[in-house]
Amino acid sequence: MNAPDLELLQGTLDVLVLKALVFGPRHGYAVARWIRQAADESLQIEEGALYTALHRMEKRGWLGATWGLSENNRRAKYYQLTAQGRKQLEQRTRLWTSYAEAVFKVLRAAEDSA
Amino acid sequence: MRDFPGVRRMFRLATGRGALRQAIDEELAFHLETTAEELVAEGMNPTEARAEAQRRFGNLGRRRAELLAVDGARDARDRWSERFAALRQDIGFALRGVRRNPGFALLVALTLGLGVGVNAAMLGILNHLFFEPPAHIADSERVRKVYFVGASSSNWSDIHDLVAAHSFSGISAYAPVELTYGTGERTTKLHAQIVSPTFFSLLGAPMFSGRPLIPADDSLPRTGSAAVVSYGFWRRQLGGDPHVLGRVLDIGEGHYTVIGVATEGFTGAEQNAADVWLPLRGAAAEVEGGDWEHSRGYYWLVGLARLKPGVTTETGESEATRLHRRAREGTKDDDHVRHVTLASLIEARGPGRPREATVYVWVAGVSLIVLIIAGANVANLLLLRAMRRRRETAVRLALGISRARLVGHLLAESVVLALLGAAGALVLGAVGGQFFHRLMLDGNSTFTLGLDRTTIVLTITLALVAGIAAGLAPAALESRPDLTRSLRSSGASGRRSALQSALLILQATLSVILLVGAGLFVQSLRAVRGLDLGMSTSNVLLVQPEFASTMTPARQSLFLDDGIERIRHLAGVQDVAVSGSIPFWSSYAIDLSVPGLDSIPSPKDGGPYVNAVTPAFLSTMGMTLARGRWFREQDGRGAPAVTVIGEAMAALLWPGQNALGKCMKIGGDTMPCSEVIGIVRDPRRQNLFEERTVQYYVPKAQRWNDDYQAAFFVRTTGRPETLAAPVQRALHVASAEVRYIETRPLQDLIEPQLRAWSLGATLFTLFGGLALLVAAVGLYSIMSFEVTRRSRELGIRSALGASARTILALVLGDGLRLVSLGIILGVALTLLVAPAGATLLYGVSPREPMVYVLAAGVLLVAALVAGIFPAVRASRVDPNQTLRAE
Repeated sequence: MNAPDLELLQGTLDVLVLKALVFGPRHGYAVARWIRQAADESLQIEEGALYTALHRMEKRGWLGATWGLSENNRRAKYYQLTAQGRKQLEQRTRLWTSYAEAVFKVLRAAEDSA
Repeated sequence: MRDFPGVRRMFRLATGRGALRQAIDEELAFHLETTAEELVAEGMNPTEARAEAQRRFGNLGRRRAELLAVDGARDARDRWSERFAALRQDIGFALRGVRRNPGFALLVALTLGLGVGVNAAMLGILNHLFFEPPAHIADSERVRKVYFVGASSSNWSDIHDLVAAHSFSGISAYAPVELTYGTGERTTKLHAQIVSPTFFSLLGAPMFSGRPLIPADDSLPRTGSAAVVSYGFWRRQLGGDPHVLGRVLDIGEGHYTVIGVATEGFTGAEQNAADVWLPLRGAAAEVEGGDWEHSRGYYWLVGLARLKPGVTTETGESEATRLHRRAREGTKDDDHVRHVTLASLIEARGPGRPREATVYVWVAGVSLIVLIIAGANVANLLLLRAMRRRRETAVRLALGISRARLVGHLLAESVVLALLGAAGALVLGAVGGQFFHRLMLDGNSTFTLGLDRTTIVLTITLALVAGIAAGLAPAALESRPDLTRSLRSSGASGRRSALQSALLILQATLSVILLVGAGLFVQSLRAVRGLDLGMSTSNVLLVQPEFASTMTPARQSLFLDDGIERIRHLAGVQDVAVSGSIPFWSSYAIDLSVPGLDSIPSPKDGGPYVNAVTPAFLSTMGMTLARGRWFREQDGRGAPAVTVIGEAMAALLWPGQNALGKCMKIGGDTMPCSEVIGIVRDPRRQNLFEERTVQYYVPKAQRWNDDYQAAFFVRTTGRPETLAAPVQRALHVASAEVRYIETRPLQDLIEPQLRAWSLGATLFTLFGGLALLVAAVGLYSIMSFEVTRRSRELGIRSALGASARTILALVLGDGLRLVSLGIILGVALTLLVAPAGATLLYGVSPREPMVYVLAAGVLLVAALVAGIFPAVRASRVDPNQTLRAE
């Protein structure tokens, strides 16, 4: 795999994680579960990569973190969107939609002329 | 989240490498275990579930390392921004403090500014005097001034002997002289250096334009000779003319073509400015007469030698001494004491170190004392404020601010105040710099006390050091207060600390040293000024005409006689006389024989010196006739030859006899007798402290020749300077052969010899006054604070029947006790130290009791004045009010 593809993949992961946090603070496990369920198990994501994304976005200030108690009464690290993170999510969602639409258009056009 | 410093700590989030790792591990463990539990709930057996959870997660080890790297970077960045924010907060806090209490800030800035400004100025001067060689000399440490038998002036022959030395890569010589510049009415004077051909190549200085003087320039005849002008002269006098090369200048009686402009700031081998450099052969004849090249009798040139690389000064000196002795062999000065010294170009580090240089070192020490006093005062003011803020501080500590942050606050405050002090110092420096410059340095010095980079850096550094040092004391005190006590009591509280008393005592002690120093120098100056010079030099204008070389002695003499008449009638002139030599400047001796004596015993200071004067000389100079009579108009040409001798001469030639009526053959034993008709008190010849010089006088009308350095002496009713212009106008019309007329108060010739004392007196008085002021302000602040602090106690006393006077005495006595302790310490310390400076004093013992008593008295009065206001306020305390206030 070459660099641009990796970049694309990482960016994709970021936007999924941000989206997962729109509904309120969640710990890493919950984020992973939500993405898996939302994608109907069709996305194969290495869960470890999810944590790298969480920590990196925490460093960038898009996410805030606090320790809290989980549903099974254990200490867990909860992430939540900061104002900056919310803005990022909006931007990236727009970007992704127009990107996907463009790719989709091209693919369909190719189909027509074929 | 990261906008708010300290928040991670506040929410107990991890910082620090170990805690970060632990948090990551906990987070990942939670994830893996929860995943596994879910799988077990779906029916997987626990071992498989754990393995599946791990598989879904991926490479655990690599991931952990990655997360740790990300978190570590975040943590480091947060720490920095936290620190930065704290700093910004501290500075903001400090600035708010300044704004809230500008009077306090101004007081600190002024106090610190005074101390720092004075020191920056002194360090600048010391640096210039002791460490700055003349500018633009290549490898200037290897260039040495050649001193023969401890004197820097010598002659061409002695210097030329050293050319053969193997130790030197070059030998040169120069003479700084003042020459006229221009012709006619617009003639002025300039500072010239006449230099031997190798001068420029030896110093190796770059040129601004044109070329330096080279040996070829030296062989030219005087007319059409070459000259190099200084950059400053080119800018000022030649208007920065871009086509200056080839321009012909009238300097002295010669015409010189400009061949080069020296680089900016080049002053030759001197630390004083020069305007032009002229070739030796071209200019020397005019300055020193035709035989300058061969005579060893004149001392007018300064020798320069450049040591070869690797040759030490000692080696050079011993070789030069050997050559010098060999050359002098067989002459009348052939003796083994002759030796050559190779000295630094920096005058203060050579044998020619002026007395002032020593005074500067002392004054620099004194200015350091001023800084310590100022620093102590600032520390005291800060302490007072710290005590006033005790409650505030206690509240902040109780609320959990860390002591480190508190000290940070205080230091930031000190730094801000220190910078204000530096600003104050720079302002004072800009204002006072000119004053210092005039006071301390030769008018011709190249040194300027400006706001250059060195001064600014020095000032800020000094201010920071002093400010932070002063801020440390309160910081130590403030970060460790007794919380409960401070919180319970109201307003200002706390006892005056021992540190504060010590600071106050220190100020008083140091003030005593300065005041005693001031007293001693003022006494010395008075003693030196009060010296009986045998004449009265104030209110005398010295007028020196410069004759063209075409002017015959007869015409010169006529001009002088005519000049007396012209000057005599000017308004403001009391008396005018002509003399053949000038006190403190020149003297002249000729052969003399006395019938009945085989030889004239030779006095230690040389002589007997003769001076030809007009009859009004005695009254013009304010000299005193001891016996016999002085010259009259009738003692003219054709009348019997007469002479008046000094007391020292009478004692030398005719000890125990009556000298009046004796015969002196002036000019040698073939001459006719001149009869001694009077004896005068000896005036000084050259030096304020010389022994009485052997000298005598003859009437100008009877003996005059052109070897004399003719001058008019004009006694004025008012300030002598005011007559300069009228005298010049009156004389200029008298003859076209007079090229220049120089006028200056006679006192100007003496002033340089007084400078060491006037300098010491002025600076010690100035610094002593400043110290006194600063210490008084310090005492005042402390006592005011004390009165406020003790208002309850004083109220109780007053309610219990203490009279206003008792309370006044109580408060005042408290302050005076500290000051008195300081005075006692100061006096003791000064008694110990003062004798070390005894050589700088004159006519006063370093332990002169009157001076000490006076210094103590002045300090006590200052303390009284500073203390009386708070004390009076204390005595008016209304017990009803203060007691109710609690």
